[in-house]
Amino acid sequence: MEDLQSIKQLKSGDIGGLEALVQKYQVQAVRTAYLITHDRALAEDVVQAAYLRVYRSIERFDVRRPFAPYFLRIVVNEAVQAARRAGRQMPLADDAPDWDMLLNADAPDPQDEVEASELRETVRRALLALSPEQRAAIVMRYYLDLSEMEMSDLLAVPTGTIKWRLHAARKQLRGLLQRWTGEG
Amino acid sequence: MNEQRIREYLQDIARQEIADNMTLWENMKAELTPPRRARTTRSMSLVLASLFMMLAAAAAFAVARFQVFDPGIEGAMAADLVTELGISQTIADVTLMLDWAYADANRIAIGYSLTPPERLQGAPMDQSVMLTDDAGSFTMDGIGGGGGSGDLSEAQYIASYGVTFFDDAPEVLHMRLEMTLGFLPEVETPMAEGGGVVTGSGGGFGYGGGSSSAEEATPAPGIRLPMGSVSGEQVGPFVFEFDLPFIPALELTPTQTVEANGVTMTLERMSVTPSMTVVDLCFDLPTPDDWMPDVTLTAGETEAFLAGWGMQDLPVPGETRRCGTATFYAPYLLEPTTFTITAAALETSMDFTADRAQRFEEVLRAQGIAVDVTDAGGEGFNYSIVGAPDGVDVGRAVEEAFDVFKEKFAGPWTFTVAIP
Repeated sequence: MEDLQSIKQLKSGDIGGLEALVQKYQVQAVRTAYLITHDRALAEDVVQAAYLRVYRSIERFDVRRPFAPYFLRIVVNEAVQAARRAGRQMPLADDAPDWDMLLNADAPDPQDEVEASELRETVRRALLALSPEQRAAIVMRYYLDLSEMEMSDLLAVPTGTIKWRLHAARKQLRGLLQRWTGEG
Repeated sequence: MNEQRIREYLQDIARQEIADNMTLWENMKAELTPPRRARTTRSMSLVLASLFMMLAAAAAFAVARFQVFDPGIEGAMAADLVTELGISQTIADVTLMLDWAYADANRIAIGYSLTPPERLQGAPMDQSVMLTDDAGSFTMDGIGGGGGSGDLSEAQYIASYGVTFFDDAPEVLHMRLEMTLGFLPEVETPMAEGGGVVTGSGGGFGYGGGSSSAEEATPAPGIRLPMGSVSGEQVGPFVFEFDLPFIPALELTPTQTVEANGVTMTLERMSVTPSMTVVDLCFDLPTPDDWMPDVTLTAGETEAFLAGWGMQDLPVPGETRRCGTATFYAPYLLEPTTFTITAAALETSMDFTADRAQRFEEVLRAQGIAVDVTDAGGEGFNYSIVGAPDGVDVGRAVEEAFDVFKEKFAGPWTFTVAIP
């Protein structure tokens, strides 16, 4: 079902329209929220709350506008606020694996599940060491694959602010790399 | 940094943690109730009349204490729509006074004063702010403009926050503000005179050829970081709870169409509040490039400040028409007036090249402004203003110098709208 049809259905009071939107975007939305909150249950709560906000305010939604950016904006903002409230941020560790290898070396052998699992855990820890806002910037840029201009549009902040946030997040990641690998 | 590798890891983590067949719907159904209808029938004038009564007691509000660089907030102050608060908190010898606050459908603004101890006076300052209300009526979008004034012992600031309200916002918001300050070590600035340092970057990231932090060289309270992160010596959080009247927007659909230079532009929608006006414009693309309008708004006799422009849809290959939203700090004094919106031209950015960067440098040097330009490693360039003669408006000069990265398609497209 097209989003427009779902929204019109929802505007008419039929929650079948909401169900269609939930089915279509829930996985991407929960994954996005998870990468920001690093808490599966919290991510589901965030996305459910976002859908309920859509439901409550659907009469004000302009049907000429695409639904996905509008919805993802709510999800990202809510996830950042939830992450901030939860205060989930991992302290830096000294025994972390080599970021240089993570980001620049050849891809691991797909057969080597142990290594792949370790790499995932390392990236997860690196993300947790970022602030929720920096995590959101990284997730939007590299998971949702949005351009800086698209991020600017989605968050309604100037492109320069987006560039600043990404710059700060990348800088933080580089700092982790230096700290964990002992490179100055 | 291998960006493709980051993408792959994020996808991997997301898939690992959240299954493709997960479902939220069963849990959600239990929480659903019939949607509340938008309050389209309520008369804005009735709401505002009640607000005037509520605010009458605040007539002694000391607006004149603040230097305001925002025509929208100036308008809200002139219409006596801001709420005097006068509540303060002292933490670690730093006193934060929340002087006033204002909320309409397009933004929330606060005015506050800061009295730091002597050892922190004059230090650059970060701030982290979280605004909420107990009904969950809005989400914060970001930090907008602001300004400040005062001597080193007591400084006054105005901060503006872009917000999105949901349609069930109450007439009075029960607000909670949390602010954490971060005082940074003072740093040597490479620019001896002229009001501060101007740095920025540009070239290669779409409209405008880049960005400038020139406004931060004004007496604003130093660097503003994204919410939730401050650097330096942290003080706070300062927590304030207060009630704030909410002013709804006047929604208009002028649907005016103007043709100039063979290109059609339509003014689709306006959302007008006393402090801000949001305008939706749609226009034909003269070429497949990334065109944006150079747009201004005059509210009555007052030139508004363009706070931002954003596209309504993500760019689509082959598109021939584009819609965007311009946000203006524009005063609406709740009296009939005329707003004039003019798109003087369409503009598109041109790729960064060494030649254009050199031209950028030359344009500034012609005004006596010394600038260091460095390559940003394939992502445009960075620049730093290192010297300027007294009296030169560096921010404006930088903005004008960025024209070397723009191509223009002449208009103008002018729309005149009667505001009731």
